Amino acid sequence: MMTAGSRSERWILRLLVLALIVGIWEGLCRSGLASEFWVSRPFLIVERLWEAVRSTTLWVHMGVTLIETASGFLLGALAGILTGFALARSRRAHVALEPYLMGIYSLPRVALAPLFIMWFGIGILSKIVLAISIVFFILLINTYVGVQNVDRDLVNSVKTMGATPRFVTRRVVLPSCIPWIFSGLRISMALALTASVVGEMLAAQYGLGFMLARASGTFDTTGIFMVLIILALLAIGTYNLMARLEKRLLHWQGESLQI
Amino acid sequence: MPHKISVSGLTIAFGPTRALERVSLGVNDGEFVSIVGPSGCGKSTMLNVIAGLLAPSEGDTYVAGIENNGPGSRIGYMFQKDTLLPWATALENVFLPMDVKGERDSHKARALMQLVDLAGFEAHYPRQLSGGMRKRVQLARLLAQDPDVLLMDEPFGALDAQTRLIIQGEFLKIWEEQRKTVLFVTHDLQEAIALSDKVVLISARPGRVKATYPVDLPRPRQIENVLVHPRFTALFHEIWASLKQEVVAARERPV
Repeated sequence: MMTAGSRSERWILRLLVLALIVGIWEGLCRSGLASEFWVSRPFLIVERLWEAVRSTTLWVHMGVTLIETASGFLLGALAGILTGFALARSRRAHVALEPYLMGIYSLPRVALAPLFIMWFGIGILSKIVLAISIVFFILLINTYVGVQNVDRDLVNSVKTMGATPRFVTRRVVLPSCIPWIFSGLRISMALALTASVVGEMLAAQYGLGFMLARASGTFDTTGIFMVLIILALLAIGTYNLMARLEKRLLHWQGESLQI
Repeated sequence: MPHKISVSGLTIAFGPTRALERVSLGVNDGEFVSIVGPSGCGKSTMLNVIAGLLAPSEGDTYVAGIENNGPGSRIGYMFQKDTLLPWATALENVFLPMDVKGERDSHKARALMQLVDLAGFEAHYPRQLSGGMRKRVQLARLLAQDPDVLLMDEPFGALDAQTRLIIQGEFLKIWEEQRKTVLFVTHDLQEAIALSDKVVLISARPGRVKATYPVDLPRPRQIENVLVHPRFTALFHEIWASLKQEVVAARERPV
């Protein structure tokens, strides 16, 4: 077996795959085996991308999507984490609220989009609320489970040192929840982007989802592919950001949790 | 002089099962007392009650005159299980009890790392250390807490035989310098005799104090020498004869 050891070697292999895919795609279109109308063509997409990057409209659309994603993600995560802790604290609140929370959690949240658009309009607010509705529950449940899974022996050993409940929370419960919270954040980041784009596709005047819907409405395959490429790059970028943050905060775990 | 640790008429029941029944014992200041008994006789449960982690069904426990480890008592508890914080380095773990009191002493923490022979491993995380090293960090953490009383629940039980012998030796040396009051639970009779001033034998469930044996081996002790001392052998035979009956009795009973 060939070992793909060095960094440069790995990137060469990856670029070869890209070149192969682009080459076949371009070749199929040029030879007439595939129709440009349905699948577009790599060079057309790159050309369109270059045009878009130089104009301001793409940046406006991307900015709107990013603002929606980031606000929905941050607000939803913050509220979810705090509620998760609160529920883990109060047995009674958990018992009372659990069926409702699980009910909403099980509902495909995108189905709430029409309602949110009706309530909050076609601007960014409805998309932020949609993203929050997804992110909130994921973080709520992950934080709750994290608190429940705190090692009792660790808590007890710190308690016998005479620690206050506050100290135990700060130094034992919180750090041991971090891996759970992070796994929630990692999933949520991707879903917040999905929520924004879906919301924009349904009703909006700005955003990458709006661009997608408009391109589709005018049978502009090249436009669709362009937006898809931008979305893929955004998703990879945010994922790497999270992975880097996680590595920094969870270095005590070693490499065991890396996917 | 009143006992440093005193347990009187302690009964612990879990539903219909009685783990301990009317157990009374006392540990003097600076004394090292071991508790031996068959598995399931409630030895560890008793430590949890003394530490205030569990409420007794009947009876009281006092540590330095404070009941059931209420606020203000100073107990150091070492569990069999690893209770180092995995996200903190060895040094940060030693800082932990100091942080509880709000007085972090970097100089003292480093000196303790040196004492347990771990100088140079301050920045290591628990997962990067061997079982024996983690136990040493726990020992350093226990000493950093500077408690009046040490409760130890099979602290060396999870170590392999060779590492255990080394750690026991090191612990013995440190203890003989500091002479803190220790209540030590173990199922290893050799360990109990080698380390203690007194061995308390608890019967099979429901656990009662069956007998107390003073260990009149001279101090300071060296673990290697103690294990071959004629007095050690005599004590071992005497206590084992009695302990064996309880172990057999415990095995014949459904858990």
